[in-house]
Amino acid sequence: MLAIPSATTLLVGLLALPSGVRAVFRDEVGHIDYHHQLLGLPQRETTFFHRPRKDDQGSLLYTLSDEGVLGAVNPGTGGVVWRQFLAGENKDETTVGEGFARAGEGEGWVASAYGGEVHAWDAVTGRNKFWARFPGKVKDLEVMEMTEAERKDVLVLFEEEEEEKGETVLRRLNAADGSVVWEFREVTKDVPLQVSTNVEKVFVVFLKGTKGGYSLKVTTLDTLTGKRLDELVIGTKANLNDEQDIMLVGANSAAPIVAWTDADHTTLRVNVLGLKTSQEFPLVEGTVEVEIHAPHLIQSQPHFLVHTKTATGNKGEVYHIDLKTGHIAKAYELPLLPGKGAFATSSISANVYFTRITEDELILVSSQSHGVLGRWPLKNTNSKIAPIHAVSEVIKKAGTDGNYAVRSAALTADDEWALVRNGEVGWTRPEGLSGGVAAIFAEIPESEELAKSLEQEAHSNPVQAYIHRVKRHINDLQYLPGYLNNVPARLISSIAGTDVTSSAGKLSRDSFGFHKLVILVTKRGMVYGLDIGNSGAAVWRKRAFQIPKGQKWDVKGIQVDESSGQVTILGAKNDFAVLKTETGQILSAKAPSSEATTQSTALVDTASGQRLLRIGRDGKIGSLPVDKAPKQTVVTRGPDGELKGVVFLADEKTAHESTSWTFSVPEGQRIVSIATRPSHDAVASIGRVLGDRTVKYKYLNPNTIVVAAIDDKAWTLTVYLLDTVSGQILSSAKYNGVDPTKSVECAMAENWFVCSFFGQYTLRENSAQSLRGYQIVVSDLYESEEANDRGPLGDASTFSSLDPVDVPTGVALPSVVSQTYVMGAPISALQVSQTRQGITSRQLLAYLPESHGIMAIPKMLLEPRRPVGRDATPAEMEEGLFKYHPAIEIDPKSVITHERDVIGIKKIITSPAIVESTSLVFAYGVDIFGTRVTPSFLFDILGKGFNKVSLVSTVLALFVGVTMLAPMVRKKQINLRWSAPM
Amino acid sequence: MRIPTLLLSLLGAAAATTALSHTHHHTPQTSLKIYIPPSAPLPNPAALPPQTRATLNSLTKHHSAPLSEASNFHFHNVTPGSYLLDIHCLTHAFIPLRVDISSSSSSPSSSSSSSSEGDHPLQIEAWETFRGNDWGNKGEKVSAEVSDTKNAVVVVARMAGSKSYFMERSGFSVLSIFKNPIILLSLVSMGLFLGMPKLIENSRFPPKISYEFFFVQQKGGCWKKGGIC
Repeated sequence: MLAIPSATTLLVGLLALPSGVRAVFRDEVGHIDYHHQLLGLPQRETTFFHRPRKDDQGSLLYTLSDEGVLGAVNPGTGGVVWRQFLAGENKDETTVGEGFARAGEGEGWVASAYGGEVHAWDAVTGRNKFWARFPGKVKDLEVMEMTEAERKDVLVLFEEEEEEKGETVLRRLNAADGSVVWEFREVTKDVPLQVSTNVEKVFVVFLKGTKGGYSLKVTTLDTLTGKRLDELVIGTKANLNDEQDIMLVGANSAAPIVAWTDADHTTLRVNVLGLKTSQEFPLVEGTVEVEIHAPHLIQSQPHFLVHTKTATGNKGEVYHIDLKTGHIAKAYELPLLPGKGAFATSSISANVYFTRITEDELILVSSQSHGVLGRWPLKNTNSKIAPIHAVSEVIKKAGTDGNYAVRSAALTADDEWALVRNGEVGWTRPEGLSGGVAAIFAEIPESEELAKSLEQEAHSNPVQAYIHRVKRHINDLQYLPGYLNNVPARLISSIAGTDVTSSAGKLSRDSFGFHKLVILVTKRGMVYGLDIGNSGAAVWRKRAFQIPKGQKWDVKGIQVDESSGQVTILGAKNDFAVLKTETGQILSAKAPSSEATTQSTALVDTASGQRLLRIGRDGKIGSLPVDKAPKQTVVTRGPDGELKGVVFLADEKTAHESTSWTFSVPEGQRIVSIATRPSHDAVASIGRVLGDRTVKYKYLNPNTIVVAAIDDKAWTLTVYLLDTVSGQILSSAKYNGVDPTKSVECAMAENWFVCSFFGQYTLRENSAQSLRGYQIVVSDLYESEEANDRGPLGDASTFSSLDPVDVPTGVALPSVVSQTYVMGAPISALQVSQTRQGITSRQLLAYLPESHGIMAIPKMLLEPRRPVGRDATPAEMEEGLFKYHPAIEIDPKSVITHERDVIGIKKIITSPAIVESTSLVFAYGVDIFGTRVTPSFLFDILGKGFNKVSLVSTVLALFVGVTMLAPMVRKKQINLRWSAPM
Repeated sequence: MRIPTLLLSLLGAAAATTALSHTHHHTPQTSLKIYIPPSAPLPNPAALPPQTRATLNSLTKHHSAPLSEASNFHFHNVTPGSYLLDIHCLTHAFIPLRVDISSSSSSPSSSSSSSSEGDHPLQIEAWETFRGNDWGNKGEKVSAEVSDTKNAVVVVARMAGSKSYFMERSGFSVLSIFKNPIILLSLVSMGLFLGMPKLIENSRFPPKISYEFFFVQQKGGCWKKGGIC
């Protein structure tokens, strides 16, 4: 007898399929998805070339970026060798660029400090060598090039602030294991700035006094014991006003210096550390910024370069320090050149070289004399390189005397990182794409001419329209040869399964709706147009505003108007920018003011169409013209954090805001997350057919929001479902033992919402059992508890949240079904997939901050009605329910980023494609990642798995077979006719 | 097991004691090392990607440590409590562990007792734990011993296996068609349909006999009359 699997096991097998989600195929990698592996903008002080192994010739390029990513880049290819996301573990906001990184010459490690943590990493593998966390904040990090031992140790300067009395701590850490060799403590009001060393001493530089009249204090310490040897106060003649004006350089060099300028940048004062006197040097007229470049090695000659930047040009001056007397003398100067330029220092044994990169050439000079050692004009520059700062590596070629090779990595004004090798641009990395604060999908605008002529045809009489149309078609014939030329290539690529890249960089829509633009806004004031049909490459980049250093562009809202092809960006400081989505042309813009005036923005429907509404501080909107007043209730946050429902009451010309309801959370609670239904939330079916052919009707109220409020003392999380028209609580749930220090996030779509948090509590059902872990609660909303019942509203096509219903039960409250699942890892940036009609089932997309991936959890798995404690009945199985299991492990098959290491994702956005099966996904933060997800599999188009070659070859084989058989058959038939009758 | 969503009780006594320790200065602290040994799915732990991290979590507490050169995770200043230990890795999956750090030296446990970073005798124990299960439901005990020069307790991590992210495309092969019973059945029936008539024809009428048969039928009379026609 045959062993036929029983019907039930077959059913189980089939129904379990949807829970095993559609993973990515290996051949789809790079075809449906794209990833920009980014570091963030390299910082001037924390970027360097370093030879990771003493004996190896090759060096790597290291940087600690403004995003808090420490990484090693291969200078040959521009590829990332390893990355460590230091900011990911330091959740407390440290301001931009407050990280430090150094490497000791000839050592196989790189030291970094971020927040309160000090790390040392293996320079080749990126593995941790040691790490330590100390109280306070790191102010500086330095590697001691010369110690009494064989090794090179790490000096870390900390500032501890405790109850207004500051304490400065300098620690010397053993580079072998991270243990503290010695510690120097000083309770002082002075601000520690920097630590420097020369051969025998350690210098700690403090800022003394108050703003407007600072002076400098230099404390000298013994390298062996950390004991204080001396303390000097350097008079600044009350010229030092701002911490920003101090430049501290030349740590580890034979003669470390400190330099500062006055507020007007007219003179530069330089002090050789350890001496009491400082020297004065005049600066060029109109100087706006001064930088000092000096070598970081003890054996290097004590030379430094002063780089002065004016509004239009820049120049360099080289100074030499006399080691015996400490006298500084100007050696030579490099001419003032127009445009942006950068200098970089490199040293080969005692020799110091300065590389100058301007917008059109690379110049190498020695610190000894002004003779140009090498000059390379910049070649093949498609995009102009306007260097901001750079690092260089100089190699003196053996044999041929006086020949040098230089490679420089420069940060450009367009937020790109470019490597110039002897004048040729080796690679550019689009580091500006990191630090995204807002992004939105936009359709590729159809050609304006076509739209215009179509409009013209629509408005003219039929005969004229027909003639116009025929003329247009005849005119279109000129493109026919080109089209025909393209046909073979398209046919071949279609059969071979390769992508047809949109030709000649021209943007065009495709029939599936996969080719769209993503408008990405970064915190640095840049706006990018990314072509997601072409691996997310930037089509255009525009700097909307110059954001001052240390500040962020706080974008509150972004909206695309598809009909006009414009994107509107609203910022917090009453600023805005309107750009064309296709070209990035800035149509109008207003720069940020000094004060934040905007709380948030809301996308509202008005009489004049959809509009992005600016909500002021404390939730004030003010009066609006009638045609710009929102039709819906706008939910804002009041001054005390309460929620307000604001409606607009129109009189003749203006509409005045009026608070219709207020919702305050109980005392002790604070709102941590608010989720709304997405603006495109298509629902295909209003009900859910159960296994017994009855229907449970979904509660589909468009005016609902989910508010999660946490109590920091009682460790409880309360989740409210609010009606935004009436402000009424439709449902609420309280969860005990929720960690307020870990992230709580909610998401909402259709008739369900989810919240994730870290929970640790004992069960009420069984107090002997407790539970801990990252959890996700899913709640489904139905119109009624019972099936085939539409609740108090019945079949009414409309309803009002404000008017009472004609039944004694009052306002129709949804029936809530909830279930909790324990996640295998923390999740954040929750988003729900969107498809065109909403027929496709949904996936919850979530970033995994620890595993650096994005997970797609099918809604089928997050189903609150899964039977608990028993196997599903056949009726339930038919519905797609299977037995409840509390744990959801991170199934690698459900990770849509698969093997990619995607770091620092802050937000995920989704958009429907034209084909129903597919939802477009775009994630931004530090990295950029985009893909397409098909939650119910690819049911409406042929995937890559469809073998066109075998289809075509089968058809061809059949054709050959038929043509060969036909004469044979004909012959046989003729023979049969002519054969003698039997 | 069902996790109630709306009907939860207050914190249990055990959870409360671990979570109440907010102040860092006077609570005892310890160091902890997690070690990844070579195993069948990963013979060489040096192959793990450098961004692998381990986290220790409990209510209001979070510790995270990067992967070291020697395939360790080194946690500093961990206060007593019952922690969930996860190892987050791009290429391999690890079994979650429960790590208990207790200051009570009363229970004589053979596993470990260490003193480090503050001279407080702290005891560290580790078990496998099951996600979505009772926290008290401990699995197999994981070895935790003082085997480090710095007196830190070393807990040995357990690997679940390597992660496979991709789906396999079912390749097309001609042979797979013939594995289908319907195709086999139809082939057999086609064979019967085409082959049978021929078979019958061939077996019943060999050429010679049929000729004779034809001859006999046509001129049967002659034969019987003596062979002259």
